[in-house]
Amino acid sequence: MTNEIRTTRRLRAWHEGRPLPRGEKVNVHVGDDDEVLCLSFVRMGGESLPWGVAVGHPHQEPRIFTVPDPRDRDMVADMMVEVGKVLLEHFGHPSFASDEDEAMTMYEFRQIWVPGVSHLELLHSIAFAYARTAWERPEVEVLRALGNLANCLFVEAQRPGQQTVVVAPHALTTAFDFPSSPVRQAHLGHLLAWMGREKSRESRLRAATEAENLSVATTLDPEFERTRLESLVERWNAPPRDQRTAKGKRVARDIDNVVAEQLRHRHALVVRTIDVLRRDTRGANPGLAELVRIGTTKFARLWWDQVVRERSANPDERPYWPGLRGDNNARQAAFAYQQRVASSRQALHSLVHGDRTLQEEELQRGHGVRAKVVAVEAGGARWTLVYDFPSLPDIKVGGSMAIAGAPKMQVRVMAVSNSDRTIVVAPNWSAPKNSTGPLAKRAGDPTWRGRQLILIEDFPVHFTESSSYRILDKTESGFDILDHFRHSIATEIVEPIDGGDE
Amino acid sequence: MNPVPVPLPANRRDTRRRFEQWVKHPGCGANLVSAVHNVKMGAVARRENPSAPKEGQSSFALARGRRFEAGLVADNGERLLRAMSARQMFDRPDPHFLDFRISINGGPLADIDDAIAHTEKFLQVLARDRSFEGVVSSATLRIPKGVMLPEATLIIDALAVTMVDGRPTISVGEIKTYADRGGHTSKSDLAHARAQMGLYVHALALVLEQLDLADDIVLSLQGFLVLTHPGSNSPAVRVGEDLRYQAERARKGFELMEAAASEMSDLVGDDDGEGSTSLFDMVLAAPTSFADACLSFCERAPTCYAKAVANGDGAVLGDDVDRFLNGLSLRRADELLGGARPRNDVERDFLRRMKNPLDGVS
Repeated sequence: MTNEIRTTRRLRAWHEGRPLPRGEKVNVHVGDDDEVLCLSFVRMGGESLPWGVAVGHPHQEPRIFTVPDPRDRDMVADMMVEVGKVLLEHFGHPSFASDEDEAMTMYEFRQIWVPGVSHLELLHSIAFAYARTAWERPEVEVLRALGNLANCLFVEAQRPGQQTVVVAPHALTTAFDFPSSPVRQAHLGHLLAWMGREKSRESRLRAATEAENLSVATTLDPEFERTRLESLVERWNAPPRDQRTAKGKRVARDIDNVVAEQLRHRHALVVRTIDVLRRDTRGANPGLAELVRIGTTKFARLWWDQVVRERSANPDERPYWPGLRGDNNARQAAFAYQQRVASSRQALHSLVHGDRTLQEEELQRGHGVRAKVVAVEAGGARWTLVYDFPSLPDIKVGGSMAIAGAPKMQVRVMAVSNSDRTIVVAPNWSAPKNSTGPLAKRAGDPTWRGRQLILIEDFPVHFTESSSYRILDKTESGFDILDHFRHSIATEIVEPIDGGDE
Repeated sequence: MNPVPVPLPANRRDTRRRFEQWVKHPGCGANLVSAVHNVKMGAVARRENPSAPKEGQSSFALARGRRFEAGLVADNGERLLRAMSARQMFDRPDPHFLDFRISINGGPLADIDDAIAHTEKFLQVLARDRSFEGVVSSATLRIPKGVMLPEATLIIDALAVTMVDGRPTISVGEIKTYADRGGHTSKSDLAHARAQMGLYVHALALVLEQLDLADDIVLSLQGFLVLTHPGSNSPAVRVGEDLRYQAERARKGFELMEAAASEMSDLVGDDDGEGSTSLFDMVLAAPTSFADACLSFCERAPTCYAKAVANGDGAVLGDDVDRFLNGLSLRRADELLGGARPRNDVERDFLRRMKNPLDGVS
């Protein structure tokens, strides 16, 4: 049903000839400028580490870092040390605060915005390259710290509802339905072109199609790479290695100009995305504050606490950095799965009460009912409701539901009759829950009778979370399918057999 | 830097590319004609639109791929064998290495036919003499059942031979330059590599059958991938890739492709994927069917997309919209959403499904 909702909305957006707002509210958190760091990469085709990086707060000139040839691991590492310092300072790493007096004593919420998924994946490659490196080189501790931060950001990005790592096209498609194929919606330039000032569908479509010609992924357009960079890189590599820096200053500058132009384009698109979302008159969903609070706690546990442990150098409190390769065994996979289910439910729980469109989506999935109160009995301890939508709701006796818009006003389902569309529920409050507004009434108030309500399934997040910890504590899951795959996969990082290309 | 081997024209006879091209969108007539007659879609796209890009892949990436593969097999496959031995793929400490690459790829053999002959000979010897344990680079197969005339040739990057219960067991391996990021390695890249290996397993089964060696040599249904460590050129070997279903997919795919191609002429393009004007005309004349998948592999996708927009094809908004429209054109859907009266049940059904189910419920 959810997929069909997106399909019909896409058709409506096509009919209107422009992106249509998705939801009553913007369901993505956009931090303040000093909380947000925009991060864009460019990499050479076939390579897994950056050729150049643009990093900066919105509305500030980004800092651009490039190397003449990213196949030179030393030059890339030198560059990443500088990039690392900027990123680590942004996230408040105590060792990299520019002003020690203003160093964070506890983790405060920070965001990074990237122009697409491939940029997120490059963060993971950076983690692989540096988080566990045994390389002996100056400032290797910066590279390790950067690698661990990059991995934590990559891990956090997988958690539903998180607001720390924002992939710009995802943010736009969360807020709008675009009149183009989902495959094309991964391209940030394409999406923003649809939101341009063109007057008609045809002109917007033309602009969006043209925008796709400029790559915003980490890789460059192959034709661009060949015509603008190939000969420059050849010229850079022409002298012997030890003479390249001295003899190649001009060509290095030329390469920097070309790569920087690409980086600035990506950075500008991310900043435009932030502006679009900030300007949106719908305003942010109030539930986002809760997701930010939860995200701050989760990321502090994932990254900040490990930084603190590492700095304490206490052998009894060693840092526990998350693995690079994903889940190492079935138990961890099961734990991670349950955690994600819980996060997903938490995200929905936090947002659905602040956005009627999300409530409608939940109703269409059958995870709630639209019903009228027909009886208030036993002093408000029992209500009878008749629902009109959906025709076959997915609610069960004993389950909990909340009144849409008032997450703390919950009812327990006591009886369900699909034949006469009746449900009997027990409200969990007696005195008024809200101090103001139409819902500020005790459960026994007779004026509830005749009132139409939307009741949304209130899935117990803590139940899923606690079952995930139960799984983690077990040596065997008890489920055949999980125990079957008990053998662990390699977790060590094998150091390169040789030094790479050079 | 290591010298980069020259490009590989011989690889262009590689049937695998053509088969995989067809599999990505079997519903497109032009794609079928292009794959069967070995006419590269890129060349067709440039004929159709002279400003179409010349090459879809980064020249740096291509060079790196060639350098990585060349580095693996250099010095009698030292790096490859070391990486595979580190994953306990062999019992013996000094596994053998055979290089069946052809000269144009930096190998010792003259041409594709020579490589096929060496591979067949190797399999025949392996069935009798069970002392070989190691790797064969670029084992080359000619599929006996020729769907794609005049030959169906496959080149396997690495073929591992081990002894299991005293019988030689062969398993296929694929070399890729992308980074092994554990459980986060690109799913589509892995799926693509596994599909390739499944095709090799299917082809090996056919060849072993044809050579009457199926009882003497065990064909493993588990393959291995040789990827890179992120940020370096070191190989990372992933073992235990289950290829059962991929092999079955290849078997069925070949059958379907053969059936689809049965009515076609036996003309075929040359090694460069070019061909006579009549071949280009055949591809250009064949019906196209734009879909989401086209964007990922076909150089004609921008032209087909433009045509689909002009024709009001629902696929321009995604495959799901195309299905949802149930034969209606996007233009007609637009009219209906704008208030036009439905003319038939399909149009009434469309409007019913477009309606928000919560509207009008009392």
